[in-house]
Amino acid sequence: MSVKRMVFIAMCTTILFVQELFLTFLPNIQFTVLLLVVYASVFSYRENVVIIFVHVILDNLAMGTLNPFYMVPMFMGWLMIPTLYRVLMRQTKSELKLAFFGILISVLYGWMFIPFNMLQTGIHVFWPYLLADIPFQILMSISSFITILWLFPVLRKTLSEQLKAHETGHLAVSHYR
Amino acid sequence: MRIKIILSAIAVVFALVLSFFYFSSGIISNSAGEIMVEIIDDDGHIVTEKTVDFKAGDTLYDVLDRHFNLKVSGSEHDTFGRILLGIDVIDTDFQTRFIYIEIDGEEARKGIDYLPLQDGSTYRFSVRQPH
Repeated sequence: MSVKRMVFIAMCTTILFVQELFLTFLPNIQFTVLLLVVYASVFSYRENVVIIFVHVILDNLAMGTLNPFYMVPMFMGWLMIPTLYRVLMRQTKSELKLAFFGILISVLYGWMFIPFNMLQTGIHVFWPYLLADIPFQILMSISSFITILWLFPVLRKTLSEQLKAHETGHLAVSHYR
Repeated sequence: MRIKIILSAIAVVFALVLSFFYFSSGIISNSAGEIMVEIIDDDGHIVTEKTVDFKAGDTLYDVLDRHFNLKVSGSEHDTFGRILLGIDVIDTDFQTRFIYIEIDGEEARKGIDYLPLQDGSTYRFSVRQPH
């Protein structure tokens, strides 16, 4: 991996981290799913793993949740995006399919935390966790759905152009229509 | 483009309906009022019995935090909200002892951040041990 590409990935990780911190006051309203879907479509799987790993460490450091009960499910949850994007979605570029993929990810991401919450609280009954999480999953699904539907094509095109320009050293001007 | 607009409109309407139910669920009070708070110690004695008032826009947590010394675990941003570990003189660790909440004699089935604030209701906090 070239240094230029590495710097570009670092900048993308920063954007991912800052937007999540910036939107913390709105429960489960975020651009994280959108950005990770865009990154999954532009970067390699290994690069996505690095972005997600750094993001999870930074996010939990900032939020004061640097423990395995948060970090492990969060890492696994976000890692589902590049994994399922390749395995299930076959690297599609259709924003409509990816918008529904965003809903699937939002639900699976929430479920990922349930076994860890059960371990942490010591209350080993599954359904209360599932029920309590439903409103948050709906909010996350709606925000993922709308942001991917409207912003995925333009962000993907811009990011691809900028990455190419960054690596070749030429200024890129996006002409998205 | 048309399908995107239609789908987005459906999603926004769904979000608005959900928000309406959330805000009308009573978690945030619409008007001022008062509640009775009873705190029961380990021996089953009522150690605190106090009527406290609240204003519009308050949550149950806001009211309790204003009038009592609270000990909580977690954050209100957590999926299940904060866990009430201690109030006034009762203190628990949630593992061997926990705070059992009743509203008008009915068992509370949600965490302290998601309980409705109802004018005239009695909120009872007692210590229980897991079975």
